[in-house]
Formats: sequence, C-alpha cells, structure tokens
Amino acid sequence: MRRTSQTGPGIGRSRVGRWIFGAGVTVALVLFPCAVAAGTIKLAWDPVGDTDLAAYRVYYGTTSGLYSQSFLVGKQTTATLTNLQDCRVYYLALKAVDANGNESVAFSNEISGYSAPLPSTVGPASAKQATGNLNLMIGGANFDTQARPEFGPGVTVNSYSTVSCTEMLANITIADAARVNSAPALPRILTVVNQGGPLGQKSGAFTVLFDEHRADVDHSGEVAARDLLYWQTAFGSVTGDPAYNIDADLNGDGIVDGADLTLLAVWHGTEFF
Amino acid sequence: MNFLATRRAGFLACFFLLVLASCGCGGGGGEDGDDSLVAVFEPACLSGDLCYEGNVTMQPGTASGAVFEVQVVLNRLDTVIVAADLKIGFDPAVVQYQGYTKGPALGEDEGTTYVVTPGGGEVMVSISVSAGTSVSSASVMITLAFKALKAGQTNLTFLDRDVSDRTALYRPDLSIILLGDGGWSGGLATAD
Repeated sequence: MRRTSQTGPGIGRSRVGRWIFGAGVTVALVLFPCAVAAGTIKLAWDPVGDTDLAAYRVYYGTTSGLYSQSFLVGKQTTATLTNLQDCRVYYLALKAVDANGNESVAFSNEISGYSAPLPSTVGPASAKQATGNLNLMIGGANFDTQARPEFGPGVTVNSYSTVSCTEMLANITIADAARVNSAPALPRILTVVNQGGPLGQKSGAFTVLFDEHRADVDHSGEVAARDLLYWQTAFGSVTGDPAYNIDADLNGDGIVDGADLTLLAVWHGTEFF
Repeated sequence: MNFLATRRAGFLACFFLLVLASCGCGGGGGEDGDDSLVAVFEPACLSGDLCYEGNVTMQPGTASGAVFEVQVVLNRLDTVIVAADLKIGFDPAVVQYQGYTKGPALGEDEGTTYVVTPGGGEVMVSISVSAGTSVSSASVMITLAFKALKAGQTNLTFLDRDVSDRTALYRPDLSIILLGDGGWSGGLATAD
C-alpha cells in the first residue's frame, strides 16, 4: 500500500496518521498487513472511545482528497474495499459517525495505494536447486514501488525492483537443498508484499526443480551404491534428527524417504563430468 | 538422450513396484525373442575352483528355453561390506535383460536397498546395506534374468572392476575392497 504521507515508523500496526473525533479522541488508520483477494484493500484502525460513536464511514476515490464513494461499517474497526481496478491508486480516509448520523468534521489522514498485489507469472518459471543469481521477471498487477517478492524457504531474494505496476524484477539464489516443487510435490507459493503489508500470492508460478547432481551424494562423479548407502543410512529421518542428512534429502522436503530414493534411482548410473 | 529418457521413464514406472514388492523389474520387451531358442550360461569360474574362493563370480541359475538366469555369487568374504556396485556388460543384440531377484548375501529385507538400472548392453546394480554384512560362505548377491534374442554368443562380464561406482565392493569407510584381476569373473551365454 502506497501512502501519500507517513508519520509512523513503518507499517503494520504503526500509525500513519491521527484525526480528532468528538472531544479529542484519536484513531489511527492503518493498512491491514495480510493476504487479501485481488481487487481489494483491507483497512484497520483503532477504535474511538467516544460514547456517542455509532459507526464509521470509509471514504475512497481515485483522486486525493476527493472521495467519490463511501460506506458505513458500524462499530467494527476493519473494512474491506472490493471490486477495485488493478493498477489504479485509491485514496482512502475515515470519518466517525455518532448516533444521530452526524459525521466528524475532519477526515482521518489519507492513505493511498493499489489494491492487493496480484502476482501471476514468473519468467523463467522454473530453475534447479543450487542456482545462484538468477534474474526473474514477475508479471501481475498492483505492484507498488516498494513491492517485495518472496519465494518461500530455500530461495533467497538478493534484490528486487518494480518496473511498473504490472512488472517486477528479482534476483534470487536457490539453495542446494531447496525443496523441489515439481509434481507430485506441493507447488511453491510466490508472495508479493506491497508497502504496508498487503500481499498477494500465486501458487505454482515458480518451480524449483531437482538438481540431478545432488543424486551423486558423495560427489564421486557417478550415481551408484555409495550414494544409495547415504540415503539408506538416513532413511526415515527428518530435519533435526541425528540421522538426518540434508545431502540425502534430495528433494529438500525435510524427510529422507522413498521420494529421494526415486530421484536417486532415476539418475542411477549417470556419470557427471 | 532419447534413450536415456526412455530408460529413465521406464525405470521410474516400475521402480515403485520394485521397492514395494521387492521383486525383480522386467527389462521390457521380451516379445521379440525367438521362442525356439535354448540358452545356456557357462561360468568362467566353476564352483569349487580356486578362482571361486573369496571372489565374485557369475554362476548359472535356472534356465527355461530362451530365458536364463545368472547368479552373482560372493564366496566367503569376511570383510564387512556396506555397499556393492555391479556393472555387467553383454551384447544387447544377443541377449536382453529381463529382471532381477534379490539374493541373500547382502540381505533381502528393508535393511538392504537394491537399485537396478538396465542400459544398452549393460545392467547397473547398486546395493546398500545400512548395517553392513560379511559373507562366510558362498551366497548369491543377486540373480539376473536374461532372454536370448537370437542364436549366438555373448560374454557377460563385470565392467570396470574394482573401480569406484562401477564394479566394486565397499567397506564401512566406503573404500573399495580390492579383489584383483581374478576377483571378478563372468561367463559365456550361448543361444541355439
């Protein structure tokens, strides 16, 4: 979520502004740092302590200070805007409403930003374990200037930048034993977090593939019995067990099991030069 | 590359069956042989000969028509073995690999893992024994089944003997138990 002004130290539950309601009661309008559906913005604010409080009205529009739409949300302190257009900056503010329907004179501070980021594609869409400094292009919508991609465990994002609201660049490093995501393993989830915490996710947009060199566990240059022995010795162990051997956990799923043996068997006899 | 891909795909397809059922893996095909053929396997080192002692030899197993078995026998090796690689070569124009049966020498239960991968003119066998074992008398490590495709002869030999990750037996420290040139002997398959 991009903001036009910021007075707090960062986002999350930090305060982005204050406004006066009734006899000097203050609230803070913040963005809700969570995964939200596409085309939505979720807001949260501290409750107003005034006994006359009956509801809040959320104002929003696509021009700063000019709010073309609004809705009441009762006494709850969260609201979700839906059906927003991609890559349009929305401006939002809040008023408190008393039992007689009177609204506070002043708006809260204004915040602005895109609706939830919507990652959709990654190019290249896959890479092997033990890949360093791989440049990726992430396609989608609603990427703000501070949007940050995350690829899950085993994948380190070295750098990233937003090209436009529909395109990001990222440079990643995939660990040797990063979890493999090719079927039947679970797909990897790509997350893009906009400033303030709103995030969007896409499952399966990027796949970590098995690095066949890992089947040569002993680095002898050929996949054979000694590699098999490493697997067997660690068979059944999980991360943290004394017998666990990350080198034998070929698919990086945290357990040395038959899936690892299958990978080893597929590459059995292969010579690496 | 296509061959490798086909080989791997075929292997993968039957691999789970192998592991779960602990039975031999068919090498595919088998329909293109001549059913009138009778195949026999003659070992280069007969049981009881000096070359049999403390060595790994191929010995004849059962045979029926064109299909014959070759037993890989380990005869008394008191050194503890934790793994074995066997790379066995043959003329693929004469015989075709059919499958394998685990032998008792290195174990047949879940403590021993077998991976057998057939290729063009060779079969790669890897066996691991997590607890290690020694063999006090002649015992079969694995039995391989072949089928004669046509009349002719082919040697069945251990390739790259005492070479790491080719044909070798391993100690617990994963060093090779050297058997020497006479330590590995194959034989001759003849189909008429």
